[in-house]
Amino acid sequence: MKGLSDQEIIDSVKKGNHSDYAILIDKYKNKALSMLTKMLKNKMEAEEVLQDSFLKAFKGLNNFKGESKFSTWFYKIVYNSALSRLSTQKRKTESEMTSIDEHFDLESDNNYNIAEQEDLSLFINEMVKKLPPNYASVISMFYLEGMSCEEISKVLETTENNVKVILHRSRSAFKDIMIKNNYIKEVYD
Amino acid sequence: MIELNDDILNKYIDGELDNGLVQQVKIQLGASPANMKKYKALLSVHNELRKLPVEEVSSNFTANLMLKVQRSLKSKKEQNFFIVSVLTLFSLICLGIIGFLTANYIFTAEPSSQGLLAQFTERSNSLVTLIKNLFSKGNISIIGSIFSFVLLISGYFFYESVKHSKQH
Repeated sequence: MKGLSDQEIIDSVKKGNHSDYAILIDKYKNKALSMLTKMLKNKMEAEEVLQDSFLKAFKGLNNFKGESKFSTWFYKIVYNSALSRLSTQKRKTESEMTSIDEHFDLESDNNYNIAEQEDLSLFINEMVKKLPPNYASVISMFYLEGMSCEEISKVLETTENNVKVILHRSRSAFKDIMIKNNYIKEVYD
Repeated sequence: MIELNDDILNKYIDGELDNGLVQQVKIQLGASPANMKKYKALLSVHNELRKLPVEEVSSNFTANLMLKVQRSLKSKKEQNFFIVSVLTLFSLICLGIIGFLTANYIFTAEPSSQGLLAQFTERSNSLVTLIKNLFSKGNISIIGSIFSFVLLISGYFFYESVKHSKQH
C-alpha cells in the first residue's frame, strides 16, 4: 500500500477500507505537527489539534473531489483548526492572511542568547518558534512540506504574492539578526 | 545598476529573476563585499531553514486516532439508525391514521348509482371533510399533543445517543 498515491488511498478509504486512512495519517502526521507546534507554541496542544484535524478530514473525505492536492486540502483544515484554537485562547494572532503588515521583532522578544548559541541550525529553529503563527505556518509548509507558494496561498486563502512577502520578510529578519550577531562571519569566514 | 536590496536577493535565491537581472546581481555581488555578506547571510538562512527538524508525534498517535475514526463511524451508523427508526415510526403513525380514515369511510359509505368520476369526487370530498373534522378545533390539541410528545421523546433519545457516541 505504501507506493500508492494520496488519491488512490482516498479512493480505497471511500470504498470502505477505512484502515487505509492510517497510511495518510502516517504520511502527514509529523510535518503537520511541526507546523502546528510552531503556530501554537505548545506540542501537546498541537497534537490535540492535529487529531481533530485528521478526524475532520476523515469525516469530510467524501467532499474531497480531488480538484486540488490532498496535502493542500488537508493543510487548509490544519491551518484553520490552529487558527480557531488560537482565537479560542484569545491569543494575539493574525486570522486574516490578507493582512501581511504584521510586525514582529524577534530580537526585542528574544530572551535567547544568540551569541552563546553555537549551532546555526538550532539558532534558526529557535527563531522560527518565535515567529507569529501565520509566518510560522508559511515557513513550515514551504520548507518542511516542500509546498510551492501557490499551494500555500490556497491553504491560507491569500495571494501568492502575500505568501512570498511573508517568506522573504521572515528570511530577512533572520538575516538581520545573524549579521548583527556576527553569525555570518563564523559561518563563512 | 539595480539596488541589491533584500527583495532582489530573496528572488535571486528563489530563482525568480530573469537572466538579465541574474547577470546584474552576479556582477554586483562580485563587486561589493557588503552585498556579498548580505547575500550569504540570506542564503545560509535559506539553507538552514531547509534543514529544520521535524517534530514527532507520540508513540500511539496513529493507533489512537484510528480508534477514534472507528468510533466516529460507529456513532454515525447509530445516529442514522435512530433517525430511520423515528421516521419509520412517524410514517407508521401517519399510515395508521390514513388507513383508519379510509376504512371508516369505506365501511360507512352508502352504495350509489352515480358515475365513476362523480363517485370518486364525492368520496374524496367526504374524505377531506373527515380529515377536516379530525383536525378541527376540538381534536387538533389532542393530535398536536401526541405529536409533540413523540417529538420530545425522540429528541431526548437522539440527544442521549449523540452524547453517548461522543463519550465513547
